[in-house]
Amino acid sequence: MFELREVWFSYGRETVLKGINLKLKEGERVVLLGGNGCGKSTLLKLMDGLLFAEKGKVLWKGRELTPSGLRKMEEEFRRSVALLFQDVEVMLFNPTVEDEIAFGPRQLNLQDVEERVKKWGNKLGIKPLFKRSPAELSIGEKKKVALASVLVLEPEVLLLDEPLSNLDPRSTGEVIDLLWELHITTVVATQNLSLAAELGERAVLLSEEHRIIYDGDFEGLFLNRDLLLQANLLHLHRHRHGRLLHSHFHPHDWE
Amino acid sequence: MKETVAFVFFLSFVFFLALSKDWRLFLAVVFLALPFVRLKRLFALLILLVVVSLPYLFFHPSGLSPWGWMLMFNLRAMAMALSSAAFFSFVNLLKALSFSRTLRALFSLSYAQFSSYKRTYGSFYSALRSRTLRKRLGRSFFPYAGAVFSYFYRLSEKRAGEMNQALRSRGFYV
Repeated sequence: MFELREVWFSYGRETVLKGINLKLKEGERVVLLGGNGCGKSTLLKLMDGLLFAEKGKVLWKGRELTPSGLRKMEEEFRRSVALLFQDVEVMLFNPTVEDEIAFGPRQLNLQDVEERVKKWGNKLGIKPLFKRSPAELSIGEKKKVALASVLVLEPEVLLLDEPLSNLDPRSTGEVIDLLWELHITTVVATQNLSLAAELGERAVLLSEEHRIIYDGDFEGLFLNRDLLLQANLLHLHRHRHGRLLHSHFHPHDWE
Repeated sequence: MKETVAFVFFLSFVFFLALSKDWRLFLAVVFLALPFVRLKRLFALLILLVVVSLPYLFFHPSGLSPWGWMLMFNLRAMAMALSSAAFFSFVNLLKALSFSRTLRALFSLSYAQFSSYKRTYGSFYSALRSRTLRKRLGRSFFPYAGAVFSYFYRLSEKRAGEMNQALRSRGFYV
C-alpha cells in the first residue's frame, strides 16, 4: 500500500526525518511513536502528499508521490488517503458541523453525501451538534467533528495525528473501538505510550535523532526500556514515601 | 437561488454607488440602512472614516478646499458600508454564494479565521487585564500591542500553511 525508501526531509536547516524506511501492507495498523518534534507529523504529511521527500521515495500503490506524479492521480489519491491533523482547528471552517463533515465528499464529488454525513455523525455521536458552528464547540467535540470529516470519505488508508489528545475517557474508548471496527489501513501518530498498544498491532518508534529505531510488535518494544528512554517516551520518576526516596520509570502520559 | 439573484443586484447597486456623485442619494441610502445596523458597527465605521479623513485634512492639495471631497468621500463610504451591513442582515451570504463551491469555501474559511482571531485576541486581552492594574494599563499598552502584532503575524503565517494543507488533504484542489 505504502512504501517509504530512505526518505529524508528538512524544514530549512533542520532535518526532521533521516533515512526513513517503512513498508505498509493493506489492512495493517501501525502506531508511530516518538517524543515531541521527532518527525511523526511530518511523516504523516509526506504520506498524505502534502510534503514531498527531499531524498528517497514515497510510493503509494507502487506510484511515486512527487508534485507532478500526485497531480495526475490527485482525485483517486484524495479519495483513498485521509489525514486527521494534530491541530484540528485548521480543519474546521464551515458554518455548521453538518457542512464541515460534508465538505470533503462534496469536494471529491462522492455519491450519497447526506447518507454518509448522517452515518458518521451517528457513529461518532455528534448528530445533536449538526446545526452548531464548529467554532463554538469544546476541543473534544472539535476532535470528533474533524474525525468524522475524514472518516466520511471512507478512505482505504487513514492517517491520524494524535487522535486521542484532548478526549475525555469515554470518548477515548469510543474512538479506539471505532478504529478497530474500520478494518482499513491505519497509521496513528502518538506519544501516548499507555494507549499505543490499543491503537494497532505494529509499533514504529522514532528517536529524537529523527530515525526509526524500532519496528515490530508492542511486546518487544515494551520490554526494551533503553529504546523508550532514547525516544523520550519514558522518564525516571522520583517520589518520597515518608523518609524513603523511591524512583521508577514511567511513561510521560501517566498522571 | 433567490439569495444569489439578490446578491447580484446588490453588487450592481454598490458599483453604482461607487461611481455616483450624488450626495442626496448617499444620504438617502444612509438613512434607509441606519435602522438595520448595530450601534457598535456604526461606531467602528465612524472611527475608521475619521482616521482615513484626517490626513487629507492636513495634506490636501493647496488652493483647494478639503471639505467638498471629505463630505463626498465619507458619505459614499458610509452609504456603501451601511447598505452592505443592512443587506447582509437579511440575506445569508453563504446561500448567496452557493453557485460557486470555491467562493463558498473561501468565504467560510475567511469567516472561520476571523472568528478564531477574535477569540484569540479576547484571550490575549483578558491575560493582559488579569496581570495589569487598570491605572497602569496605558504604560503596558505598547509592549502589549507589539506582542499581539507579532503573535498574530506568526500565527497567520503558520495557520495559512496548515489550512492550505488541510484543504488539499480533503480534495479542495482536485
